[in-house]
Amino acid sequence: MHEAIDWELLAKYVSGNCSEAERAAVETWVNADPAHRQLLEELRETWMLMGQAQRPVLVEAAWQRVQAQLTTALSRPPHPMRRHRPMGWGARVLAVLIVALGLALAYAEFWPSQKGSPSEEIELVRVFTTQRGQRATIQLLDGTRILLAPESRLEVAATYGRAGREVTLSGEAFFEVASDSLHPFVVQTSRLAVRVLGTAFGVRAYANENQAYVAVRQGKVQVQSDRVPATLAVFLEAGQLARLVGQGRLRVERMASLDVYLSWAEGRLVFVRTPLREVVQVLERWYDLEIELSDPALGERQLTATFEEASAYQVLQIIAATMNLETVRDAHHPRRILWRPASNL
Amino acid sequence: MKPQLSAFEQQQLAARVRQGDAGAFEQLFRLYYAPLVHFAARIVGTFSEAEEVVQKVFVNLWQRHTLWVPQASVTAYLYGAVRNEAIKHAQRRPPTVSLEAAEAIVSESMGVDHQLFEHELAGLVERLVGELPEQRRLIFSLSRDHGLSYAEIAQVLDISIKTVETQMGRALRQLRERVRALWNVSF
Repeated sequence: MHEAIDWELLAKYVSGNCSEAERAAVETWVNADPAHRQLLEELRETWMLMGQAQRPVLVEAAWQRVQAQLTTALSRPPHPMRRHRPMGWGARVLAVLIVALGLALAYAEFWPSQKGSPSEEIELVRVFTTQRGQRATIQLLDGTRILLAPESRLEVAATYGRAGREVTLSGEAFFEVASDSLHPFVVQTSRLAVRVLGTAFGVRAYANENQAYVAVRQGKVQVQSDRVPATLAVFLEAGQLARLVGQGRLRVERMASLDVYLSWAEGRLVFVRTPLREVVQVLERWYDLEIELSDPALGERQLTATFEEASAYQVLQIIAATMNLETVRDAHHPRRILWRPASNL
Repeated sequence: MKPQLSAFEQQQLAARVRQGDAGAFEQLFRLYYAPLVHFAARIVGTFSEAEEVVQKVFVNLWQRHTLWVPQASVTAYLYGAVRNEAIKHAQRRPPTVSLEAAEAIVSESMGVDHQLFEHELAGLVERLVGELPEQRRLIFSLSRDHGLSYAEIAQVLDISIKTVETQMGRALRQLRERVRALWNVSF
């Protein structure tokens, strides 16, 4: 196009900021030349496309927090507030402290709470969440580093470090805990509690999975499940794995390699004779995909493979090739995939 | 997106808040909180800080509600107040590593695999809009994501309407060229 294009006018038009006269001018210009019409169509498409996804904001929690801060009382009595106190070390209550909000909620929120004392101090819990396809690194003030796996949620009290070191996990995470013999580090999940002094270990406890385990890379940890008395807590050393089986019993295994359980923290996916249905679960979380198997029997096939910082495309290709599968992508949902036995023509 | 309130409805709501109507204040908060948090996050970088900023604006507003007479639209007033508070917040951010900083790390958490699903929108949009210079990006986002008029944007950012027009023209031109380039290489 040789003539000068009035981008400002076109932007006004597309964004709905034109006066009547300007709108008429644009329409005349568009009708004068098919190339103009084409350009305006492209700008409209660009405009439609460029809306940024707005993640959900928890207005209710924020409103309660604002109410708590207002010195001039609002006429309505405040909503009852959630109570949340740090638990004593003796009280090994394994209930999740805060009602799980569901992993779909995308980001950190505050829960206001009130202390028993009349002081106005507000105690906060910081919540870190990852969605499918995301991982996160959380560095706490004491030097403890936590890698959060996809679709997981970690709660850290604002009093962390002052009143104990306790976090609540739903999902999977790898912990490198800074040593502090006076303040044990405790991970609570809905069914397991892990207590350590300073070590590196992984915990997996997704709410939508039956399995839960703790794998220790370094140091020593104490693991307790929710169904058994504290005296039956088990101690794990480096190289050991505790798996939750049946009625809250813990089975301890010594593993030649914990790579299958822990290597995700180093950006590798390791499968060793892993049934395809479990592989699918991991890939769905890791790459934010929906994978369907054309036949449930395929799910029993086993895969042994290691992927290092591979793209979803590479991983899907390699697995399909290895297992003689055909990958069909849904034209309307680029993240939805069907695996079926390859038709060997 | 900003709430769809007419200028009249906005002024009514403001008048009720000025008279100390707590229900009106709560309504104002519930209508505007989420869009303002998204706007503030563009300035301060993390959602937790953005929430802090917006909550502060509302707390300040209620503490001085008897004096509240928004000149133009309530929308422009609130976005403007959030912008000022966000800039103040960004300036006094402590340099030490804190839980807040840890959260900044979280928000940068690894995206996965941008080659395969190039046309997967959220990541693409985030990236292309992110390439715009800062002021242009804010202006574009206020228009596109929040639905503010040019006049409101000018008031919020304390710039002339002419600047909004210029930057919007450039933003749309730049984005259209980037989208075209991507379309042409994608499979």
